[in-house]
Amino acid sequence: MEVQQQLINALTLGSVYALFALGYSMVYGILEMLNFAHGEVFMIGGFVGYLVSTAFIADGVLAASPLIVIPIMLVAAVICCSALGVTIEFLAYRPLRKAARLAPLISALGVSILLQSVVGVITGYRARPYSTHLLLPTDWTITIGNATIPPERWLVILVTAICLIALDAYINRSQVGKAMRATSQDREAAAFMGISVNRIISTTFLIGSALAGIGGVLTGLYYTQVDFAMGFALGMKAFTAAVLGGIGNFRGAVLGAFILAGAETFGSAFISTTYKDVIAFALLIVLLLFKPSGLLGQQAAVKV
Amino acid sequence: VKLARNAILVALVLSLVLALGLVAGCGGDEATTTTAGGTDTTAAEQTSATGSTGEKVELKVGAAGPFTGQLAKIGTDALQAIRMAVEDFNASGAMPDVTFTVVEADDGADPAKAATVAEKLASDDAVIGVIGPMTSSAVKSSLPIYEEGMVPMVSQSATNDELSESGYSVFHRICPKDGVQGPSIAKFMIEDLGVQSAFLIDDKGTYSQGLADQVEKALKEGGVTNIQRESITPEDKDFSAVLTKVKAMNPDILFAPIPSPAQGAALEKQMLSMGFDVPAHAADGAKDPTEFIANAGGATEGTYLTSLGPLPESVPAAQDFLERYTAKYKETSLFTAQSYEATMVLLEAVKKTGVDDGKVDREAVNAALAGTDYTGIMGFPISFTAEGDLAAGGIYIIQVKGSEFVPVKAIELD
Repeated sequence: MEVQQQLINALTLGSVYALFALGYSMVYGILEMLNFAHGEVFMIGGFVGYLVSTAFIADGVLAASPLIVIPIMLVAAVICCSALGVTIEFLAYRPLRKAARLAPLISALGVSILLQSVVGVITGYRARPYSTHLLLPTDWTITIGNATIPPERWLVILVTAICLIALDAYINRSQVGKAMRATSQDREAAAFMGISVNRIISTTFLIGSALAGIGGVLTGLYYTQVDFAMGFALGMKAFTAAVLGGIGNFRGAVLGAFILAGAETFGSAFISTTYKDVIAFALLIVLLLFKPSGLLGQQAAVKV
Repeated sequence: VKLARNAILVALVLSLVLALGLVAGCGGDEATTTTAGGTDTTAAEQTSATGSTGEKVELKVGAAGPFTGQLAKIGTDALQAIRMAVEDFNASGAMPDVTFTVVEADDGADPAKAATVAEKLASDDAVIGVIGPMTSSAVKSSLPIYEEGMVPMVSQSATNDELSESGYSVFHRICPKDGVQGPSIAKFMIEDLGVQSAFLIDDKGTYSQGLADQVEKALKEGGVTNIQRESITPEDKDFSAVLTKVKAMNPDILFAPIPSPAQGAALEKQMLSMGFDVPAHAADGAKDPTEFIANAGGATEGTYLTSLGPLPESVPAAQDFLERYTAKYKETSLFTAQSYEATMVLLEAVKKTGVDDGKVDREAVNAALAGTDYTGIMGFPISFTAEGDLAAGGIYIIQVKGSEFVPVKAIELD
């Protein structure tokens, strides 16, 4: 019976990692840079959701309408985070587009530390609670076999699934998606074909940050709290998931996220919670030894 | 060629990530003085050079603890109480020639940082003693440094047994050690709650693991053999894997001595959302009305906690302090009253030693501390054993009821 429950745990955790890892992977695919500030966008998404939910709780309208409050939290986080993501790209990365490869990386680290410190100072370095039990009635819990799935968990899984399917369709079917893929293959050639590269890059940041915003709110609901360092802590895991799946590859990031979450959850279930991270990272090392470019990553073409 | 370049890039990225971790981890850990450090030293030197010319001597009380990070709340409350005690002592006129100030030494509950700030305090001659560090891991790493500098310490909350057993002369604490706390908790669980099975969760820290060890041992000695145990880390936020195990076992009691009230509350909130609720016993560190009760929204109702001293609310001598403190900072947390008391105990020892030529002999203060017999706001006489442990006092079991903590039972030390 424990296996079923742990499977649900792994699915939830994997969903959180996936929403997060996508942002890393998409930006890397197009710019070949690691957007360290992505974790902070995620964290700020969590705080936006917190602010919205407390406003509603203070107004006392909450109990009646979880169906309204949670969408508002998500939409608010999406708006704030996409704006933030695009702004970060415009101010901190675009001016460095032609600079040495490490320059935007340092700039990204700077933005990350800046945002983390600002939120840390404002919140006094303390966690803020999510009143998950008020936002989501506990009788919405679903029971499958012996596994109970509390509302915030199926919500995490459901919303993630919708986002992933929509994004997959968008990237593979739409005109903009095609332009994104072209830019990621060869930025200059794409520009020659009349694609506005800057706009495509902005769109990538917008989508990645919007997903991070959704992820931040869902994680807050799931963890029942948010704090200034949550983006950094989760970011390490999401980054690992992106590398595991083959960084730059969209489906790979999702696959990597679920494999990492599975290894962590089942590692702590059947071996020891103490060695959770050891098991997960040992798996990463072993996989990378056999597939250095990640599970679905493409071997980089040798340029002479 | 490209692959090699990628490898270098990955190495660079990883080192940057590590650097970020370091930077993120140390939000303002420097030891800072409430007044400018440089001028302090010169003032003290001038006074000692000119002898006693009626000018006031400035001495410093070190305050070591987690003022940022996960435990920032109890740390900050302690710091504010230490400041209040120092102000009260200055105002009392007990030592009219001396002005005491507080030096903050933020260790973020990190043993490595605790050692760094200990070096700073120990090398400052104006520092006459230290209140704290508050966490056992931090005391463990900084104790050798304080011992070398003969800096008298009074910790308000470090309970690990080894700290007093390792033979350091500067260590004192005004809380009972785990060796006393553990068996008392086990006794309460067996005799009052009638538990026959238990699930223990620690956070791998010195304090948490030590206390869980003690309770496990005492429960087994008391005939409770059905015990499971798991660990989390202070960074963990998702407890579903471990809670699934708890749910499968359905123990009579969940003992989770997790020092961060926010993390302890999150654990119980997630337990509730997973659709089960077993009686829980959190440890002393969780006694924080905002983070453990208000922010938990009912999930922690009924949880037992240990209090290392009587609830200050029930001690008549503490009422004045509580009133003044809450008027200024709204609420106290677990070690607030203890921090005030610890500071007074240290200052009393300094008073007994006296100031000679603008300086205080730390060794003499330490000797005076050993002979402490002081009754303050805790409501019982404080004195120390030869190892620096508290010679009197007891363990108090309290419980979350509604929006506050209420006393359940006092277990006296033998």
